[in-house]
Amino acid sequence: MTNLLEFKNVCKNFGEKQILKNINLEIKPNKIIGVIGQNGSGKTSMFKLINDLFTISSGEILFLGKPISVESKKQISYLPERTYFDKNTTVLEALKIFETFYEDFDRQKAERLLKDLDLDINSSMEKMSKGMKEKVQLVLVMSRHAKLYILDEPLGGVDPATRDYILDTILKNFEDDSTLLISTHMIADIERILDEVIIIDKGEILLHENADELRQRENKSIDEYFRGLVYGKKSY
Amino acid sequence: MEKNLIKYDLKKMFNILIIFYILSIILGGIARIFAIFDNITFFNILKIIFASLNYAVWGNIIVHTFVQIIMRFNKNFYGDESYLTHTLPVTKIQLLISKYISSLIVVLSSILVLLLSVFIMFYSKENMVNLKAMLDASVSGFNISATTFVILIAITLFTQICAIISMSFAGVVIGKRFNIKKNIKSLIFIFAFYISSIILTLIFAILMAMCMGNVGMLFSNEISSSLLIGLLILAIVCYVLYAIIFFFITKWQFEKGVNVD
Repeated sequence: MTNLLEFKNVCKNFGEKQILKNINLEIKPNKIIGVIGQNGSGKTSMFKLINDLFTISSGEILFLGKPISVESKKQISYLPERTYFDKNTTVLEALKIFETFYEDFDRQKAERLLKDLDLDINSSMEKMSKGMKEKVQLVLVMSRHAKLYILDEPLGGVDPATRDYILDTILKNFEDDSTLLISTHMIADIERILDEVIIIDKGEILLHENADELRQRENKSIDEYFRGLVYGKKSY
Repeated sequence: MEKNLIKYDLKKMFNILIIFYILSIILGGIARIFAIFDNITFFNILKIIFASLNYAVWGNIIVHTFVQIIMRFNKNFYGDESYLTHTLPVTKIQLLISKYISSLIVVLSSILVLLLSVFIMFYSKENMVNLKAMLDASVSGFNISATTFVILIAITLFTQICAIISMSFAGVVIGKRFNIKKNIKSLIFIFAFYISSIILTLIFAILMAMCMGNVGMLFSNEISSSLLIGLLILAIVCYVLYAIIFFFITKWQFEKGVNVD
């Protein structure tokens, strides 16, 4: 099977500081993959490299066998951990921006999801809480018919009650032949949906494995395994 | 795609500038109305107050035009908004060109509004005659018409503005390539580019005057018409060259990629 995304000996340095160390990774289509790691482990840096927000120090990243380009951007839908719309932007304007720039954007789907999440289309970002803004961005990102969805901490700013709803929204709305890369600290919340798990620590990939196989082999949840691996703790 | 990028940029930049534009037109109009009755002391005082307020607004338009252009460039390419900008399916050169075009549109709009405000506040047949007489007097010693002189000055100022914008963009892009104190370094680069361009233009001016055999004139009040026209044309050529050179420097650095915080 052709790799959807491939990291080949990718390094990212800032001066002397190495953020990512020789990352080699192969992502197949049609998977839900959890990228797990502590704060500053390199998860966001990895996502930024895929999305052209960081330049690679060495190595290469290939999307469907080709370097990151305009063509790959047309097929990658990225939700960063930040809210990127100006405070004066209304939800309606945000919809228009996505509709204008992304051919694969499904406006009707976005409007339906916004309605489901009780988000007013005429509200400006200024009047919204951080959680609401994140929900708007999530709706916009999930309303694209992309090949790869990259969600960086999509559950960070939302209340626990909304978390499950958002996860269901993600699951229901990502395309069948697509791959979802999702990073979060809330491993317990997402581990039920994962096909594969990538554990990253101090800029290195410690593990990339099938989620079910990992759970069976270790006889514990991914959350427990991650804590044991990274913090050196055996049980919780 | 560039059209949409430009539209989005203009919307953001005019969001703030439009307030000053409207204010300038209104204040100019009010000052003009009071000027009709300026033989009455009270209205004359009001005219002076509103005219002074309008001068302050003109200053704000000039400062805000530059600030908005540079802030927009910085915010859109390196701030939180860049998370959207750089993930849009457009090339780096499309992003850059749209920024240059939208900046030029904003500069031209500000110039037009300023001229309109001046026109509203001061236009009268008498003032036009006085202005023409003043211009004629200032170019009387030179073999050049007042219109040609005004056009040359206007082109010089416009090309200088374009060069400053181009230098500013280059300064931001180069400053942002550093890992720490990016904003301060960007400002240092902008300042360094600007100072260097002034020094370089001055060197070219001296060289040109030397070639024409009248260096002394550069530093005196008696300047020949050929040297004056030569200097203005030299300034225009220099600013156009700076604008182009710094555009290519910006393009070269920007296409290497960004590192967004």
